[in-house]
Amino acid sequence: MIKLEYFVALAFALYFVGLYCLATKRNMIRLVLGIEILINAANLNFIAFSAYRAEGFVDPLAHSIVVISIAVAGCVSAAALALVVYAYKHYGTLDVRKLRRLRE
Amino acid sequence: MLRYAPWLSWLIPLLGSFSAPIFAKISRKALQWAPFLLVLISSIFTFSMLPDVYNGYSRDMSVEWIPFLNLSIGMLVDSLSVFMACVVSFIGALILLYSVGYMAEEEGLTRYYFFMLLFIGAMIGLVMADNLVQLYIFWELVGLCSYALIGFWYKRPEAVRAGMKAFIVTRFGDLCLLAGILLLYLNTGEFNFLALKDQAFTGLLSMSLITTSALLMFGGAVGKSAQVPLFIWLPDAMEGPTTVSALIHAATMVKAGVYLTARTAMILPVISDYLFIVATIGAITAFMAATMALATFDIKRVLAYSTISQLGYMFLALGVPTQEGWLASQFHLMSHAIFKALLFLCAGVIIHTLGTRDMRQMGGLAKKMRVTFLAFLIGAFSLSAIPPFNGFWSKEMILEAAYRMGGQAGMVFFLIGVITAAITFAYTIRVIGLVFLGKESNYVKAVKIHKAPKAMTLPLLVLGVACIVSGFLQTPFMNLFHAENSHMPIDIVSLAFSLLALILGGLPAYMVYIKCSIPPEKITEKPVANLIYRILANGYYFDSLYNFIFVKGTAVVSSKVRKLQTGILNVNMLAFLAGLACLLLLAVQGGIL
Amino acid sequence: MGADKIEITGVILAVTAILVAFIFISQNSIPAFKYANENWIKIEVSKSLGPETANFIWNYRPLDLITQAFVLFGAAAGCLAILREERKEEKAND
Repeated sequence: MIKLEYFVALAFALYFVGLYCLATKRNMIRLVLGIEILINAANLNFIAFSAYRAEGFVDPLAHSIVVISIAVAGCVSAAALALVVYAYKHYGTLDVRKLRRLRE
Repeated sequence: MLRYAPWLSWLIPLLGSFSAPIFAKISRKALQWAPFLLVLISSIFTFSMLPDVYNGYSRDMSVEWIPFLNLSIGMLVDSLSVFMACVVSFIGALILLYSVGYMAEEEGLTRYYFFMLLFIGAMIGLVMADNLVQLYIFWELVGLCSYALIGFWYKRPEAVRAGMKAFIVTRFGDLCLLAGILLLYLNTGEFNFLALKDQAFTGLLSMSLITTSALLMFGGAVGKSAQVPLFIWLPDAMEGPTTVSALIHAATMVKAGVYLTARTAMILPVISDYLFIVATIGAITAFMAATMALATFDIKRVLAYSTISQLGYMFLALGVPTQEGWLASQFHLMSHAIFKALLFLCAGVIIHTLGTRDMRQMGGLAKKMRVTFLAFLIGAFSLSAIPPFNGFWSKEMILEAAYRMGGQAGMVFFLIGVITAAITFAYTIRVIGLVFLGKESNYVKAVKIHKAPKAMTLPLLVLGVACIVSGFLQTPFMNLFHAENSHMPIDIVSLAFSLLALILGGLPAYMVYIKCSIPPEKITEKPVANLIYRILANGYYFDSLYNFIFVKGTAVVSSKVRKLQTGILNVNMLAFLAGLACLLLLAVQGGIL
Repeated sequence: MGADKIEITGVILAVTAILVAFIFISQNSIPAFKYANENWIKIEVSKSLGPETANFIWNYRPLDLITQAFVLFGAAAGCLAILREERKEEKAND
């Protein structure tokens, strides 16, 4: 079997890719995709740890958590995209760096 | 002692404060009279504890609260706590009677009575607390009530600012107090006064620990009792109603620091260096505040500075390492509470009638307001320590204790006390001359002077009688505290010095302000006198210094930090990423997971 | 320029963080769960991994599924609420 460290390293890498996307990109829809990448990193981490508890055993608790997490991630991006559409209607732009003040 | 007296004496005002809205719903008259009746009942309970304590009864009743932290709620019934509780409830009842007349036409009365009752309950709870945590809780509560009552007229920006200033300045003191309490707890595991006393006196604690924690707790007293570095809040606290100033800032809350220091001296075997610091700060404060009172034109500010100066006297007496000094400070506490409350209440009558606080607009009120004039004279003579009023007896005790201390330090303290007594008499005559004697100013002629309601004059009479009588209660007082000698012999030298000081201070003031032979403006025109006057009028520039360091400093720092808040999501996430990278670097370098 | 500064800083920080994470992971071994519970039922991994996992989820976690369905429904209702059209004044005054 592949060593556990590779999976954890990949989860770390995905996590930082997601944070880089949130920290750098200007388009609001890309930010939503960044959040999705973050959630996937965490899911991958869960599944990786579940398979390496002992030889030949997969912990099903992690899988159940991940199934629900995927569904909730879908709900989160649906709501986030609805907010992005509403913000586009209000501000006229998809650039997140233009949204600086609380009231306008 | 009536049943449950220790608990009921502070629970009744506290519960009454929470019922203030109910009284307000019943009727306005109920709201005005019920608090007075409640505090009167509470004072009956506190006075009922006096005979038992006089005969040597002393008990610590406590209820366990959090056994894990060794916390409990309890009442310590011994001479010091019952004595102070009697003072607080007596003066509280009189002031609530007075505020029936003084605050009759104000709006927001529910808020006023809520905080007044909460204050009286918390103060009695503070002095009767039997462990340090309970003392701290009630300490904070009286600070909160002080803030709320100073800022009672919240529509005036000065009052709001004064309330905030009082709270923030005493906060520094409270931090020191908390540090002292925690230091003692971490080294002994006890909060209870008697348990700490056992541990300290049997030599289990090192001297440096005792001195450090005692000094830190004294820092709390410096904040609450307005001593030298932290006194700037008390003159500005006069923005509140006069009854608030009388109760909180003259008679009770500022005595909490004195009580704490007295209690510390009882339970910890403090060394003479600590006592020397206490006495030094007390002496410096007494002198500085007395001089500042000479240069201000607001009648309540004069009384505020006078309070600070007399509190300095009390700390000076506490710093004398004999039992006489300790007893002298407590006796002065009682007599100061009585005559200062009397003075503030008279000032309240004047302010209520005339509508102004500025002394330059007053003058010649002696003929029109006789009762007030008489009461103010009694209070003023007590303040200046003129025989046979009570101020004379208590200040004599303090000065004699300092004189008997001997040594260089004792002489210096005695001299500072004597000089301050001279200045005290001087500013007292100044106030009397400016307010009551002399020609009537145009303002006074224009205002119609109505008779004060009986609710306002009755407390003045009671306090005046108490001023005259309580000076002769020295022997019962000493017996209450089970002192060694039940009578203080009067030393001729110190008596001569204090009478001499009275004459030295009184004559110039009399010439300037009563006989008006030299107008005061001509004195302050000369260059040296002008410099001194400007220093005094600006409060030795303490206010400006603190304003520059803390207020402007904070403003400058925060305007630079403001640039970090851009409102852009990307910048915030960048900071998050940077933080995580740093954490990972730390984990790798530290070798920990 | 402002945008480029943020982009460059982001790239540098992310790459640094990933490299540090790799170094960290390669130097320490990651012990998987000292505190998990020990009553396991062994199954044949290659034969029936999928059906076994699905059975577990169906038998042991229906409450989670109900919560998930609730969140899904709530998200759908929320998105519809956000994207509702603005009503005109006359329609509201009927």
